[in-house]
Amino acid sequence: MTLLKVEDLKKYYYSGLFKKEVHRAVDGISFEIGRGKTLGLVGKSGCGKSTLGRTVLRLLEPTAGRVFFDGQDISGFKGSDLKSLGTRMQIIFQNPESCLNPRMKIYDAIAEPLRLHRLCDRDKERGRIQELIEAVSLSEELLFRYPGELSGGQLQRVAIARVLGMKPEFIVADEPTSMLDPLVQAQILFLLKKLQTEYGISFLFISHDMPVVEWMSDEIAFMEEGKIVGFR
Amino acid sequence: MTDMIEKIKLTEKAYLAEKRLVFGEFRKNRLAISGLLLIAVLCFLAMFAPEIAPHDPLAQKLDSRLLSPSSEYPFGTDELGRCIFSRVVYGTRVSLGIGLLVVAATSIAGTVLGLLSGYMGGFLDEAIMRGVDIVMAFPNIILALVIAGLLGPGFSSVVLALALTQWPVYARLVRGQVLSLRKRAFVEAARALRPSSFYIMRKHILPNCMGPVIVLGTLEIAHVIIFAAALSFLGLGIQPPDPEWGSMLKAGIPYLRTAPQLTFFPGLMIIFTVFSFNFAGDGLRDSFGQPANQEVLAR
Ligand SMILES: Nc1ncnc2c1ncn2[C@@H]1O[C@H](COP(=O)(O)OP(=O)(O)O)[C@@H](O)[C@H]1O
Ligand SMILES: [Mg+2]
Repeated sequence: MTLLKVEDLKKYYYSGLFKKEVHRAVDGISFEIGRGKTLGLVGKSGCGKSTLGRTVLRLLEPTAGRVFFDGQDISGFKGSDLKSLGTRMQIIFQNPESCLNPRMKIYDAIAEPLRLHRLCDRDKERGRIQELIEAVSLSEELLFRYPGELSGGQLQRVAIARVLGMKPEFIVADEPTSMLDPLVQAQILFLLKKLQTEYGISFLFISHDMPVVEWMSDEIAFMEEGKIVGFR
Repeated sequence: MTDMIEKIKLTEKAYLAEKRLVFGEFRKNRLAISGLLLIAVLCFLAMFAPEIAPHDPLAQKLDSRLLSPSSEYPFGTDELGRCIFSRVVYGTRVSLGIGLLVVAATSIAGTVLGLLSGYMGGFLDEAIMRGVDIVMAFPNIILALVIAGLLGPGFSSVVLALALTQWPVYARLVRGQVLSLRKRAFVEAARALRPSSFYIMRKHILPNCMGPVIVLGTLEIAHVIIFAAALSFLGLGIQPPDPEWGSMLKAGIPYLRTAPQLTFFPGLMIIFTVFSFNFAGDGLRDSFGQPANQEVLAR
């Protein structure tokens, strides 16, 4: 069953004096991702992988093309429709050092989406956060620290716990382990895979590391200069 | 054996380096702490002026004009026989009042405008930045002079004239901060939760650009106090007989040789105040680290 369907998606960046110069970062891409499946996306640095991931989520506005999520065309979503997507489609970033607000305690970072979307009652919040922090195998004494006091691997786990709290159906993972050392990288990958089977999450898993993508993905798309040049 | 000696040498080196570091920190802190102490003294003077001042700052006594400092008049008297010490003490109220008022108003307004400009971009950004350019195109003092001249002298027109010239500094500082913050992953992660722009600015952007604003604000108090004194000195600010350091300086000019206490003490107070806020600001800047440093210095 298809969860996400992307049709001829384009994202152009215009630059120069009269916005004449066009950079085709994403240039007509189509693919589908099934429920609970992972599509790996591989390509050289600068070929447009991150742009594609963000455009699919509508964190960037597409220049053209359509994105269907759970059967609905989300390209024109506004207001409350768009807001409801917030819990259903999420993203995990490459650089764990900068993916959490340095002035927000870990507890608040994990609680933020719950509060914004009223996903749990105030009196159950503490228990829910406990659950989440255990789901990513972190100790609860980290909850009242600031991001600056945690290691890269711990931060990435916090970012995962934060996203997990929303029970998303689809996650874009933009090179989530490329800045971690190999051991931690393996741990995070195992965690993602475990959570995927547990919660049935679909992934767009971006990486330039072939073995990692092969291990994570059901299908792999190869990207070059804004276009997908092949699937496997 | 040689290993042993090497090791000892190394630990010794490390120890010395550490000591030097701590000492450096301490020296920097000492300036900052003395700045804060001086500010505390100034606030004390301003708050308890009626208790501290031995005389009414406005009371003229024409038979005791231009007296040198004595036990009765610690700083002497001016050309109308008023107690200079009392006037200087009351002047603290005026100068600190103007400084705090202007900095509070401009830092809030400038920060809000800078946030909107940097985060929303587009037309709003253009409009706000053109406003900044227009104000900054004139030398500050000239613009303040023109505005104060148009509004007429007095406390409120000094505050308004200074506020209108000082807000762009904050707007520019904050806009710069926002532009670099909005590229950070945590802001994008927050956007992925799809809250309002207002929420992101308040929760994620603003707390991360407050440090530099506080540093700038502290340094700006010194700046504004000098400015206010300059306006008064030029006759466009606080008017006699109200005690204000700048206008006291102006009134003392004809007696520069015969009765230097008229200019010396108000001048000393201006220097004193400016130093204390500058030291405190520098100390804060060191404790907030690099980014604050560059932005504030660059202006
Ligand atoms: N805001 C932007 N404006 C202009 N060009 C951009 C912008 N963001 C990214 N690009 C360009 O788009 C291309 C793709 O970037 P990106 O999607 O980050 O690549 P990848 O994630 O595959 O390394 C790069 O050449 C980059 O320079
Ligand atoms: Mg990328």
